[in-house]
Amino acid sequence: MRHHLLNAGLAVALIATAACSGKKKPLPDAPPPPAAVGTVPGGDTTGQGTTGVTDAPIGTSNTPGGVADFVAQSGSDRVLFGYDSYEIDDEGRGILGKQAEWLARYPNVRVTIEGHTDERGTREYNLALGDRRANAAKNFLAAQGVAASRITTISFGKEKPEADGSDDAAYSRNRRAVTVIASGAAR
Amino acid sequence: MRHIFLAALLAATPAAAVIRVDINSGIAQPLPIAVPAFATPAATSTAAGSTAALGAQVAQVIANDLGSSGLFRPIDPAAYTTTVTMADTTVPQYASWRTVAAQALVTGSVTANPDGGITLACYAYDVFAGQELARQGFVTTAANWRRAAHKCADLVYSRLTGESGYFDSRIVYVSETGPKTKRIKRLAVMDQDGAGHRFLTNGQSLVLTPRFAPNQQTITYMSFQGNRPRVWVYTIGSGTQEAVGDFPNMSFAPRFSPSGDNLIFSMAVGGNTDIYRLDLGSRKLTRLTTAPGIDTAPSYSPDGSRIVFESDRGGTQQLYTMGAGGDGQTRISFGSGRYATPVWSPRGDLVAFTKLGGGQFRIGVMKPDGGGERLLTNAYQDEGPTWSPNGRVVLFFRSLAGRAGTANLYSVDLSGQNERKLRTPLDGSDPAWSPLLP
Amino acid sequence: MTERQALLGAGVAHIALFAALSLGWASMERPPLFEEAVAVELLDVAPETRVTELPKPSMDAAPQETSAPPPAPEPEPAPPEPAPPEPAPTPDPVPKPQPPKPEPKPKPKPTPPKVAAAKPVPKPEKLDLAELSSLIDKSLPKAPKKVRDPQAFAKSIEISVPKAAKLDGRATASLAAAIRAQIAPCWNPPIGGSDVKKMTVVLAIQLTRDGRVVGQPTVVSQTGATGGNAGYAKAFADTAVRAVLRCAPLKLPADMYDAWKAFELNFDPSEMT
Repeated sequence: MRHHLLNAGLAVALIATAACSGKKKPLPDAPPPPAAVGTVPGGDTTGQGTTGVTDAPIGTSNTPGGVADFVAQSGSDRVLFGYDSYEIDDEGRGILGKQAEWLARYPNVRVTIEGHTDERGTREYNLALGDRRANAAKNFLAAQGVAASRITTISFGKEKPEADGSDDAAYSRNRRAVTVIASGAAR
Repeated sequence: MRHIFLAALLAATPAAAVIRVDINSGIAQPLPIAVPAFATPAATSTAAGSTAALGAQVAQVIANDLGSSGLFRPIDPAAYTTTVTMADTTVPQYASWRTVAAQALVTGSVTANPDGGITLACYAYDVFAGQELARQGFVTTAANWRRAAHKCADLVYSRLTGESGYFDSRIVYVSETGPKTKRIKRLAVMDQDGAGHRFLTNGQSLVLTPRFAPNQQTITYMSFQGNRPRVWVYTIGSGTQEAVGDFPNMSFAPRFSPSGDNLIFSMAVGGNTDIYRLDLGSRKLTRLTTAPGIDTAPSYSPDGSRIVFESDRGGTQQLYTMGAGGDGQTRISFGSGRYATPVWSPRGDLVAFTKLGGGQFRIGVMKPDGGGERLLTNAYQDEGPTWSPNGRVVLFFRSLAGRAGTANLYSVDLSGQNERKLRTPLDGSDPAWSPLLP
Repeated sequence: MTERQALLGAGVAHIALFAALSLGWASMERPPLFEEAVAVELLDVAPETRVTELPKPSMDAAPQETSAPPPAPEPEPAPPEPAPPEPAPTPDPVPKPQPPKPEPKPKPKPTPPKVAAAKPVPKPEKLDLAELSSLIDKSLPKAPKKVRDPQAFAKSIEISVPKAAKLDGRATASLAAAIRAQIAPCWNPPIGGSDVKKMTVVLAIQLTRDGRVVGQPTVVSQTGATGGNAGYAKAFADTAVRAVLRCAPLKLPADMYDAWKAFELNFDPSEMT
């Protein structure tokens, strides 16, 4: 059973954050929302064009157990992939291993892994490919001992690129699985 | 060439035999057609303006429809040597239309009805034969005059080309705005010619891949509402939206069956994507594919007996067909590159697809058995074909490379000719053409 | 619904009205009323854009409850050890077998334009016999080079047509070429049609001495017409008739009138690209 990734309050916070500066990390403080369906006051919690994690510099607020601490300790909140691939390379394994270690220290934290692709695939195939990437990362974390029930996945396919170019540098940045803390992080 | 002479020689039998001449070539060109302003028996005020003004607007809509097909060339009204009176609508001045080289003529009238509605009379003529080709009357509300005009255009198109028309139809698509990394997407619907544009969703949720139901009044699509990517249904008349099922996994790529009784779509479970059928009456869900890999982008044949879809089970995206129950899965695409987004033609004879290769996406068609592959377009990224209701025109979206990366809707006819950009208020992607409206 | 009914009712009422109006301005020879007028229903687009309903659970449809449950190949690897203290370079973390992804990058084939418009053949203003004769020469490459002198050519026809309509093969060929040269540029075949390659139509034409069409060309026979494409077959035949009417009057050698006062045209687009 999956859970809501974000509740409405978090969504508002996210959108507000993005709107204000785009430089602060969202600090989710809400408990895991109930898995009720359709509780979307205000209509919608998917701020289009806003993914869970911004490009904020690491370490602005290094509260242990916090979001910035997670990124700092893991080295990165994301792993990158080859073209049309969902294989996690050595660098990715290192990052996910550290993420798993951090998650072991903070067992109340739940995460969502967002799978993304570059633009060189058709829309629906890329949704499935993003799902493969998110699940590859999830399965790796689970293999490292993170309870699968703490991890949800979501694919955005090619809908939310991080780099806007149409070149190899942009493509490689966009082929990613990003671990986003959904709840339970320290403030 | 040679055939003519052979035939002629053979036909040149002695004495009184009539010679027969083969004509094996011609000049395929848009048919010059005149569409003068429709007449009115008495200029009368209606909710959509005076019938006289409507007569001129109706003619413009019809001329624009016919011209957009690439099969007709509406003659500039400035060249007309006559206007059309009520009497002329049924007894045209053929000589006058011959002088402007019109080969076909559309006349008609707009009459106000006592209830505030209108009657639109529509006639088509062959100018050189001096013959009536077709006639039809349409009764509707004044506000609905455009649809009556489209129906008149469909009548003319169908009589002169022998194929069913497609002008009285709609397009649903995803309206796009904003930079590539923060794009806002909204469902929007418009008439086939771009008129009557309406946004259906407000842009708060990411929405993708709308498709019409056969009744044209319901649209299925994928929405990320609530950060739960799922298949939804939108009812145009009421404006209501609902998720079709509370599936725990991402469901996407929805399409209606030709009967409207079922939805088929993909569901991703732990990285494996298969195709499922949901019976909308019983809510029974049936899994149609089981192969490891990504099975998606399903599309029913017009008779509902088969499904074409894409799968990477063989290593790369390729097209497959299967029975409606998932039986007999067979690969049909074997060219170089990858094949995606197959869509079965409403005529049943072709499948349109997106072909990936050489850093490009292009639109192509092939027969349902995989033969006769032809590519229709050539650009950076042409994706997501959808058929006109008569199976003669393919609509798709074209994305530009680079930081802007804007997408727009384009159409091209089956021969690869007559490529046109559709005008939309903002950018657009994921078009889906409705069936002909009732 | 009530709106629709009202609309339909109004429609029926006003068909009658329209018929009455029509009679007023119609000419005698053509009854202007329609057998039936079509009521165009109004299709509403909701005035408001709104998310009115929350997603319905419809858990019945959830995959795990169906006869064909998704197999959930989700390999939930059992947590092997409690949280490794050191992110020791994990041996084999790839959770799934990776299908090979060879990415052939074929060079894009240029799309050949599928419909090459036939070269416009200018309709000859008038037919002269020299041209006719040169046509023969081009078309029959094996034929010995022939006279270009109109008089001589005419004479040759006289020779070969001693009394009545008895033409030899070459004269017939020249006549056929002359007819074809005038009709083909006027034929606008409906090439987009799905059945076009399989369809032909034969028209019978009668001409006056000055090349005008007597009455209308009539369809002698048609191939490729099936029950399912009657509309297309009709439109196809119409294009042939239109070609003849557009290009009439034909300019043909007067002294061969017996040979062309009545003839047939076989319109066959199968070899057009």
